[in-house]
Amino acid sequence: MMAARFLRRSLPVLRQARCYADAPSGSAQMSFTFASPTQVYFKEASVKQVDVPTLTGAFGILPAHVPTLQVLRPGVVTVFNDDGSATKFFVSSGSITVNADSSVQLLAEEAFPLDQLDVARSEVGTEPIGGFGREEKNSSSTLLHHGLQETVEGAPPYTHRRDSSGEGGKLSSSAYTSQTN
Amino acid sequence: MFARTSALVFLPQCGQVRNMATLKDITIRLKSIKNIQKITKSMKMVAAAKYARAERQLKPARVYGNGAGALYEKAEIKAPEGVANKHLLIGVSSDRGLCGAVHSNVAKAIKAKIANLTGEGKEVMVVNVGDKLRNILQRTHGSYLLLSCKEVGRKPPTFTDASIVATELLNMGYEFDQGAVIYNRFRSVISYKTDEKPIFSIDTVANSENMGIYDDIDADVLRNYQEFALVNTIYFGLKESTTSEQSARMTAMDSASKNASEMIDKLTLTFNRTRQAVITKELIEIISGAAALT
Repeated sequence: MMAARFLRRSLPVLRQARCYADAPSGSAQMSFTFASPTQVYFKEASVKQVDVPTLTGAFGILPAHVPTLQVLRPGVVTVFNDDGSATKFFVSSGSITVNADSSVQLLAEEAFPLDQLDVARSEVGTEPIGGFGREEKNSSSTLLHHGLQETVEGAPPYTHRRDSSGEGGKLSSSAYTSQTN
Repeated sequence: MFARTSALVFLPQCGQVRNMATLKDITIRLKSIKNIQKITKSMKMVAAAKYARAERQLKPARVYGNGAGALYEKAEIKAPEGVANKHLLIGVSSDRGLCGAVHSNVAKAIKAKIANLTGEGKEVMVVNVGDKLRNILQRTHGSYLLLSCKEVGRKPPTFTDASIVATELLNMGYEFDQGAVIYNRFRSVISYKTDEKPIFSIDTVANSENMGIYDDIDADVLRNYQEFALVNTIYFGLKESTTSEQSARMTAMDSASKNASEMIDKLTLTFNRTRQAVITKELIEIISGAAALT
């Protein structure tokens, strides 16, 4: 699945260089940083794989992943540690950067481990999370709520959904209240 | 001649207070300085508590902010040289004073950068977060001010604050190519340094040479990513700035209290000496009066 993705979207320059994914070289250790503005979950840690939900689909990131920039949508991030255990977090929105040196920065606007979540309380109090959602239909709080529901009831298995949700998503300033202090 | 006679007329009024302040004057001064010392001591305590909290919140914010800037460093993004680009400076400070040189440092850095950039013929606009900064900049560089934010510094800054600033900034419609967030980076309790973090526009990032290695980026994703990165940088600047400000206020109030206690010591000595002098004078008067009678 990963190789097919490479084949489909590798740039012309790179096509000669690789047909199938090479076996990961020794130096391909993922330096994984996962943080929210108020808490750091992983700081330059070495993990095996990270599954992230993005606006263009969900995908898993292994060491030596192709460099990319993506924007997160509300959903579950699963981190597979080196010892095989998996930890899940719910993220509201944010960005993920995979650099050429295999370092991954996952910056979430809000992130919580799954055991700290309560869906019933998420419906009350639609305080805008301030995510970078699209227009009213997919407004950030709606996305957030759906994401939460999916998370608790069990998200559908990760598929390569290439959503063509291509509305001109201008920064929905409705998401920000004038919450001046 | 004329002036001298008129000066002579006024001098006696100053003359009697000048040499020896009366006991009453010294008492009044002593009381007021003691009050001021109480105030500065309590301000120091408050600043110490706020500083402790700000520093605690700074740790994750630093990881977050550095993560946000990692893309710019690793991909070595920079604006094309030689083109007359438009710059944007975001100065981060606060509304409140009595914190040492915090505001003036940021203002100095901004003024220097403005002078530099206008010397090279580039266009600059300034966004300032914090009223104090606006006061300093408005007199001389008022034409460069694009946006000004108030009510900063009373409560610790949150991500929402940073996103509000970023939203307003983007809504202003100033198409900048690159810029910087200028803030005071916290180094230790007694030291901070004015620093800057770069910000770039979407076009600059998209056209930068190393961006080609990043797979699967369409304009929408890049724009969202950039806006998010802008908020992150502002958030990072706010957090560092608050911590520096609180530590600077703590130091300033501490030295103010020390100065006040020094003044109190000196005044107490003067007070005692004056008191003894007054008593001695009275004694002498009584004795010489008695001697004159006998």
